[in-house]
Amino acid sequence: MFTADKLKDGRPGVKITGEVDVATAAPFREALEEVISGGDEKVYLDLSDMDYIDSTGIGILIDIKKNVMKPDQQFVLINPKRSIRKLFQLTGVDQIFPIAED
Amino acid sequence: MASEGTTIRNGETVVLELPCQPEFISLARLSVSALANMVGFSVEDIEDLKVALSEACTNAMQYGCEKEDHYTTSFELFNDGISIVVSDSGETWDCEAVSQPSLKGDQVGGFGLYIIRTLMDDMDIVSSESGTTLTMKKNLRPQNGIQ
Repeated sequence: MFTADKLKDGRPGVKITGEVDVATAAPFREALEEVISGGDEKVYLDLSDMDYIDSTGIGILIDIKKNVMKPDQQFVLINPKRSIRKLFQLTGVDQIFPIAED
Repeated sequence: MASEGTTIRNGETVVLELPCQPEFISLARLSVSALANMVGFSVEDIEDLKVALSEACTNAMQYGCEKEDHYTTSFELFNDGISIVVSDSGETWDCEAVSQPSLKGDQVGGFGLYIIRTLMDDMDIVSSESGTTLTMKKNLRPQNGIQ
């Protein structure tokens, strides 16, 4: 299962629910590209209900930062679960994007 | 050391043949989660196993599905851990060339084998003309299982 919904608190961003892998890579990328198209400097990704992400999803995050976002744009990763935070640390994602508890 | 109420014969093997479609990788995750729980792994280690197996399945799909429309995952359960083999019949590829990615944000892909190697206690991959076989092992840590 995978869903991407607007944040209820009005901040620019998206709440990711479910699993991000090669099967859900396309809607994940689509959701991220849509939310950064607004041009906001900080785009919040609420990951509190994201159960799983693999290297395909991590590659999408890095690719969008590297090739799609404007230089002053940034994802802020909110409340990733411990297992996902561990994967972000392993792959250096935590050095590219700020991770926040909210 | 099996979970309470679960009796596993040492060396018990479960084989799962998966279609080369991304939607079925979640089935591999569900399977390893259930089997690792039977062995007695902690929640954290089960998450590691799910990630590592998914990466191996993704590789099999990307590189190993030219000739066949399926690949095989095999789980061998032990008193002290689990061994997983993911095998496909695809073309030979240079595994070592993608095993050490840059972690500075300048590399978009190629994390799969690195992640598996990091999360598992042992990992071996052999690619030949008859296909690729990836074997990974994770051991029960002392705090796992029923003491």
